[in-house]
Amino acid sequence: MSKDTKDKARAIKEDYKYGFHSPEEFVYKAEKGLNEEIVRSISRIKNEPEWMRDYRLKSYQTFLEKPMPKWGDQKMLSQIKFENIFYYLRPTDKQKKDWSDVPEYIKDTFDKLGIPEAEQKFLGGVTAQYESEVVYHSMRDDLTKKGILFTDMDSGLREYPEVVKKYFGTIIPYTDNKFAALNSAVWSGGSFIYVPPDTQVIIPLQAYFRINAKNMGQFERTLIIADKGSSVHYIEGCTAPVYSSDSLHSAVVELIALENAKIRYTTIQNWSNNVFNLVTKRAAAYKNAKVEWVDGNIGSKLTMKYPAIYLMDEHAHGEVLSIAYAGKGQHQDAGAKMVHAAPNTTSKITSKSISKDGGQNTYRGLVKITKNSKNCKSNVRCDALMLDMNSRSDTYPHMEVEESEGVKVNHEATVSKVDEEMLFYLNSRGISEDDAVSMIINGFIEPFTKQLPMEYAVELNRLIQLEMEGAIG
Amino acid sequence: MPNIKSVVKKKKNSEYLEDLSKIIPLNGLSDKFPEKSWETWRRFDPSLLLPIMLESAREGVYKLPLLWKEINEDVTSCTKHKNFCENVKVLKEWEKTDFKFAQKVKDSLKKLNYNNEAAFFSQMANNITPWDETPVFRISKNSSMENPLHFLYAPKKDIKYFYSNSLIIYAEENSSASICLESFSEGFNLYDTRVYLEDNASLNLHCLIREGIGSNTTKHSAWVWNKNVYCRSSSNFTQSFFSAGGKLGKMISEVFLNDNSSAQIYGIHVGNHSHVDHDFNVKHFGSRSTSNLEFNMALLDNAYGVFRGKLNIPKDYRVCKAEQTNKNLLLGEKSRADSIPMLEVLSEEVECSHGSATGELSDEEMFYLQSRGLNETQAKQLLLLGFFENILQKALKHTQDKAAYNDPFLHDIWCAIQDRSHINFERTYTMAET
Repeated sequence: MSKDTKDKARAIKEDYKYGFHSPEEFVYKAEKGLNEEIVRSISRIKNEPEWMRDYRLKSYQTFLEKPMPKWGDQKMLSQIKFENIFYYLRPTDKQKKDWSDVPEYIKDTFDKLGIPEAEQKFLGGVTAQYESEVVYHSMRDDLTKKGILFTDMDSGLREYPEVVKKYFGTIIPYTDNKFAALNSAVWSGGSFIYVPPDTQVIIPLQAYFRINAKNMGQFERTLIIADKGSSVHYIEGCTAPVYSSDSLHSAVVELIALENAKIRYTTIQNWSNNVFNLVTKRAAAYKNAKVEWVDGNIGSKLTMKYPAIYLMDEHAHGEVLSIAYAGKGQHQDAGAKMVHAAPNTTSKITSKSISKDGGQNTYRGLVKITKNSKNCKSNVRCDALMLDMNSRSDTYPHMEVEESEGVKVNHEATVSKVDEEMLFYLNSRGISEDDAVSMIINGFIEPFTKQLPMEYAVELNRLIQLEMEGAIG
Repeated sequence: MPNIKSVVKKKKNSEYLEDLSKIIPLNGLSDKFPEKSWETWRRFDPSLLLPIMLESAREGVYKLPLLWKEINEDVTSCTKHKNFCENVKVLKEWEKTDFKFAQKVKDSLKKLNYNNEAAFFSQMANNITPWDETPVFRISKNSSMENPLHFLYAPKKDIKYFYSNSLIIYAEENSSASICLESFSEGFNLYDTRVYLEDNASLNLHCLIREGIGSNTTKHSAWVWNKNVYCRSSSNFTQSFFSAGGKLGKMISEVFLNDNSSAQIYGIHVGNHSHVDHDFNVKHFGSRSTSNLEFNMALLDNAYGVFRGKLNIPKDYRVCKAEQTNKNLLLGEKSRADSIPMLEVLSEEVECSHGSATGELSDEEMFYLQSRGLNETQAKQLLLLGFFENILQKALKHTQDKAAYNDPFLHDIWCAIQDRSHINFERTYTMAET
């Protein structure tokens, strides 16, 4: 690493790069805590149809009834104070299509995060969500002409009510779990994408989520529908400022890949270490469809996220590729779920995790082959790197096989530290110990970075390298 | 049947239930097993056992007597071990003859920790056989037993009882032994086995359970085997476990390792119209400790097999090696396997890995064997035996063990797979009576 990068590395270690915050400015802020009136007022402000208001109210009741999860990091989960959170904050009145129209302090934030720059360089469309609302949205003209719908979820509901009503909440019902119910009650923002039949979106679409206010709860709702024979790549990134009190991010993401469609959903989650990231993500893949979750968890205090793929029809394929990095005070409780509900379906899960400075990584996964799902194949691979004595790595894979004919389910996992032989070899070639470790780690996460668009991969490699600086086991 | 004494006397329904409730804390069941969570997910619900438990208990609750044999290389001629009676006594008697040893055993009991479920079954066994009356098998200091020892639990045939058996195996410093616990019973069986290894001790423990195989009661039989092993420094523990039969079965095996100690755990399960849950727990509470866990299941008909292995390496213990492998063969149309190999690693200098594979017999291998002139059944047979023999070879690594158990194990496995009625009763029962 050059001296310049090393300086940056030091800076990042002392201070989370995206930890700045702008003054809080808003046109509407709901009072602290949650009650039925707040749910009603969110719906009223958004001018929603009646069915959605009822849906929110039903969800709110379910949220109250559902218990907190009895598993996972109980100590951290008990720290969530639902009554201290602001559930809705509207930063601006109108969504803008040009960065120059976006309020200065918000534009500043996104400039610092490099979003407008990235948009020009390699994205087909961008949604930028600030607190509860999408403040900026644009898509390249050629994509609009192809008939691709890419808006924020609220506009989606306004402009394409039939499509939204048909698919909304079908993959993740509001009764699914406590956090899905919470999201269904107070959701705001998120992306709505519909790709018409036989349309390929070659350039990725992106959404960027930013929490700025203190004690903020962000509940975006994303719905992606890829019609027959289409393909789409969607990227989301998230950051938040560092506060002493905790924020909550609880999204619901539903993907529907119809016949022969292909969806790739990439997340680079880099929340600050005071954000609870409790997300429900699920996809349904129909005949010959292919769904991929590419999931990078670098930030947050506690992440509980298990992207799921239901393989609903023959020859569907699901893939989850994830890396998790847990540093001081972090717990990355991530994993994947694959449900093979049809014959001849295949899936693959690759999970890589790195624990450092007392960080905790947990892989929790499920592979289920239902009865009569013949000739299914599934392969799971989990690797964990431990970089010091204070860290922790747990693996809880579950495999349920109800069908025997032609079924192959494999699971493999390893936990180890950085291989001393590899280190020695690199050292003997004149590479310093620091550089050797980061080289090995880059190699370790390579399957993941290979799947990212080039610019992201470079950025992620650099990020990991910086986080790892000086991390000799 | 010698020495069998009913703990709960056969009485009218209401009275007998009252007696039974002293043994089985029926009311406490739901408190002890709270709502299903990820950790306990797919965990065998003990309340499933209740009908069989109650039905068997109605016939009588018994402490199972122990029959023992030393096996020479020639398996057919078994002779009673001369010194055996000196080595096995109930704890109360040890207190009279060797107070120091009894004290050691009592101290060791305090070191055994249980999880919720194991504690429940252990309490149940303890209600029937209190500590004072539990037989303790002592392997004395610096001694090494040349021939494997065979313990046999052989209750009455074709009658369903509620049986309970508790045993403590205590291996003193530098000793070595090989023991087989063979159970062959019907009704409901509760086994509670504790093993304590002192420094440098080495023990091979083979457990065989064939619940109701060969009789028509297999569908109404259930078993629970609760095993708890504590290994002090530099000790070596090898366990092989073979289970077949029964409608419901639950195996809990907990191994606690100290510095430099090692454990090899091998298991084989053949399921046939059964739901059997295997729970392995290995705790590395020592540096440089190693463990290897291999478990194969073959599931026929509508058998449901669960493997749950948990490797735990707490903080501050270095250079540990831990491995676990689980392979499942689904042979029946309605068979089902759940595999849950878990790792909990809080230490850095470790090498931990686990692997799991579930599938059916490989078509290619079948084709190859058939092209060599074997018919389908023969090919299947060969592949199945290969599937298990791999584990048997490792489990029976000592020549005496191999001579004593290899053929009977394979024979039993094959009988369990093929047809339950073919099992060799003669072997078991002649041994019990001589």
